[in-house]
Amino acid sequence: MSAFVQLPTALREYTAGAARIETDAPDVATALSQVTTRHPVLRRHLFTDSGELRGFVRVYLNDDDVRDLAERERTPVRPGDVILIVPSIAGGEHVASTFSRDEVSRYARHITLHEVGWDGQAKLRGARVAVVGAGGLGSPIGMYLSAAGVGTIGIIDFDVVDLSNLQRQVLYATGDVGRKKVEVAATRLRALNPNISVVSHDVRLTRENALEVLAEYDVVVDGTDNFPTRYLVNDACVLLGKPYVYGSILRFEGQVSVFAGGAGPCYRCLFREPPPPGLVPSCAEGGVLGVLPGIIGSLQALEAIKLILGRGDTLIGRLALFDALTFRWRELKLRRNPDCPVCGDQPTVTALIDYDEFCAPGENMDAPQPSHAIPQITAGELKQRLENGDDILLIDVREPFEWDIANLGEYGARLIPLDQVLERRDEIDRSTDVVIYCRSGSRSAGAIRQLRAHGYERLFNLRGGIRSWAQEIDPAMAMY
Amino acid sequence: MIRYSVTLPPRVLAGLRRETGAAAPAECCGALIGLVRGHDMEVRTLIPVPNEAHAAATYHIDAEVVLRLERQAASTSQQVIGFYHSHPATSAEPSATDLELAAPGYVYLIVDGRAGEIRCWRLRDDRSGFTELPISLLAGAA
Repeated sequence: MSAFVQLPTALREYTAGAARIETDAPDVATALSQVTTRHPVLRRHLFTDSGELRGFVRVYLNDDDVRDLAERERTPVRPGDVILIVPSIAGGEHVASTFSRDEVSRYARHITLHEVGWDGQAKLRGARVAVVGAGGLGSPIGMYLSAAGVGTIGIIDFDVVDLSNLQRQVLYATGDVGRKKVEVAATRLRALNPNISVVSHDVRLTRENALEVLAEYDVVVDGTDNFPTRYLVNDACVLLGKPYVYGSILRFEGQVSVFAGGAGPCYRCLFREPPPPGLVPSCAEGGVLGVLPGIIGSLQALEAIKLILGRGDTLIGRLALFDALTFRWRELKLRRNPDCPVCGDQPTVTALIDYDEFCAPGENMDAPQPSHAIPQITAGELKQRLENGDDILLIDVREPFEWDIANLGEYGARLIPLDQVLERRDEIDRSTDVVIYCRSGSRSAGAIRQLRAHGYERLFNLRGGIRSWAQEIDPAMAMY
Repeated sequence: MIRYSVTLPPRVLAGLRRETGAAAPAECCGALIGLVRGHDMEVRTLIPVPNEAHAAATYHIDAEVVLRLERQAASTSQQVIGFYHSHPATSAEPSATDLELAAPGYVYLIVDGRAGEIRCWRLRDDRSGFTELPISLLAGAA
């Protein structure tokens, strides 16, 4: 008794209708060669010119895929064995044919990469990424995502370009000062890559709009520099189940991680609660080396692209820390906290909350002021009282270099940097109204909290800091 | 030259369009089972197959599945006439990938996901390209 090569019905026309062809070959490869030598058209279909089996051909020996057998095509054939030839069916609209010639040239260095290729480039084109904040981090994030061909980029920002932004926010040029960031950013990103679409969200992200805005996107990249927005974005991403690419910068140090929207650790697993107001300065207060957001923002773009491609190891479960001065990288392992109020096993935060209140209890400037809240005075009110000749002591809690840029010395303001406020509190008269100010109103609130703990009562916070004075009272004042 | 012809009943036609719409923007794929008399092929049943596409293709039906389909068809005295797939963003003509990966003997139905046009193809024996086969619609209730 011999062995047989069996064909599916569609191939039988190449064997004059025969379903099974007898063979006395000693192994599978010889059997296939014998049968196809007898039927040359079948040979042309099954083998390449160089004698290799074509990609679609699968060969089974008694129902075992020969690729799984130890000797593969050299497996011996015994009498009664059945060698089955079965095609696998594949093809389809080649992704390449859906890219224009210009796109092919533009993305050539990507397509060359095995890890990206046509399929990866198509994934990038189909992806929708939200960039929250179009500043120092948002600039490289937006530019690299646009250059990479991410099909839809949403830019969320409500600010205008300020001269002090240009030291690091490379999306903007000097002539853009005063213009809406979202407008300039969209124009710049479209100019870089006209094949993508840029959606401008000229809004401040809030608990009211965050879920609606972010729901439109696959990946959320955070380029903001304040705690309320960071917690807001984190919680929204967990609730929406979207990956959140986190980055932050201050002075010479940067952090980057990926929070996996419910699937991995989230920002709250790392920092359950925000630091006390005033403890961590903003970049405006503490300064930042201009190139640092370029580094951290580029890494955020990298992680977003890896998430889209589904390639490589992302920073999910890891926090990378970079010190630019010493050039040291550190990496911390992050674990999901089962007690996390947002992504834990029994979450207590199941809807967005008031993040201004969460990060600075009692200081929400737009909310009705509760009795324990810090009294505010606006720049206009302060100016009025000074002109009335009221007895007001002005305390500036910024750093000396900030004082040198602009100050209210002509109204008798005295400089006591925040970290000296307590030890120098005797310089502050308890029997008069004291207005404390910083750049924007956050450090001064911290100073007032400290002084209140020592029994001071007649303390007022200059709402919006010296910036609002510059805007409303003295436009000639140098600002930063 | 041999003249092949393919006949589709309305319910198969409707099924092809439904599958194409449901899978978009991905490609759908599946098998066409039916009867063959000489060179006339009559599709009786559409069997959708989960798309297992990998990097080289945008639809893929593994040989294991083809083997199962072949046996299933044979058990009802029918045969696997061919396969269908959709092109969500291009025409119903075979792509370069379709040609590169084509198996002989089977017919390939391609649905244009934009216009809904359906065309039928069969690989030429010199593998230089495809010959288009006329589709005739079988009248009758869906």
